[in-house]
Amino acid sequence: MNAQTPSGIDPRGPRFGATITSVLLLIVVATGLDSAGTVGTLAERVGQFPFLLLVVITVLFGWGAVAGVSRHPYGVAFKKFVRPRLSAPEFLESPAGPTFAQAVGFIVAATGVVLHLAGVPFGLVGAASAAFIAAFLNAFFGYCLGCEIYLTFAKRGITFGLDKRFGGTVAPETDPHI
Amino acid sequence: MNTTLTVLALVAVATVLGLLWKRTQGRVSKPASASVIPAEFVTPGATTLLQFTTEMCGPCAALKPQLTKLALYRSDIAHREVDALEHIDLASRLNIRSTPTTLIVTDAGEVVGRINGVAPARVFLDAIDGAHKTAA
Repeated sequence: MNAQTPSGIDPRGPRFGATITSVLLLIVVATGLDSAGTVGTLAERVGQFPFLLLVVITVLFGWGAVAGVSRHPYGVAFKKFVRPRLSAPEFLESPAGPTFAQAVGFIVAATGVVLHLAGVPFGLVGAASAAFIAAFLNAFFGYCLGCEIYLTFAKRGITFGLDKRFGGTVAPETDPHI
Repeated sequence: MNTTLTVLALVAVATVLGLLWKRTQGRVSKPASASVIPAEFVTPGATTLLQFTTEMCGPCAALKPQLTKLALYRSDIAHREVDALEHIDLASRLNIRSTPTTLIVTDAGEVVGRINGVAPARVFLDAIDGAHKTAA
């Protein structure tokens, strides 16, 4: 997937991933609230379930940002198990915006991880809540906050090389590589 | 109990934000101030549906054939596509914050309506006819 062979993705793929992410983030918030106000020792904080789950989510966001949404585990699962059961998408979209959104998610989730390690009260829950709202909006309303942020940068000519990696052109709807 | 309430509140906030955003999509709004479009984007003798798009925008690709079809069916309607990134000055001046955004432009170049996002063809037709009635 590069500028020479631009192709689009089924927009329902990122929404599928966002649905899973929003559920996981909500679990982080729900399980992290009880201990959010207490600091404890570093060893205690590192062993907490919500922290470990947020680390996993952060790694997954990083995976999506580096490899692209199509190669993200949720993207692969969507392509393999969900996409064959759905009708053809109405349109395809460039992976550039959703991939940038993964990077935004990574920054927010990583901030929560760092704040928790630093012993900042509510740091983990606050970051997870912010990431949850963005994931929820994408999953249930189709509003991709990260994509909008990418567009703001792209308007100023800043594309972080994503246009070269993925191309901007959307493939025909009959693209077999959806 | 507190945890449940907080989680529910979080979901409620996200839902309200989503509904507020959804309300702005596919709705016709009148421009806050009078804007005039450069002649190169205006079609003489027709109302132009000036669709701002970007290459990376999937919904733009879905909207385009719909508006092209409208222009084919009605001789008083024209459809023009403008890449918001290639015409950044115009897009900024017209406050195009997301794509697709479609402006309804008279043959005099005046913007009389604006539709954010994708909407059914009927919404565009009603908006154009409504603008014609107001002008008459």
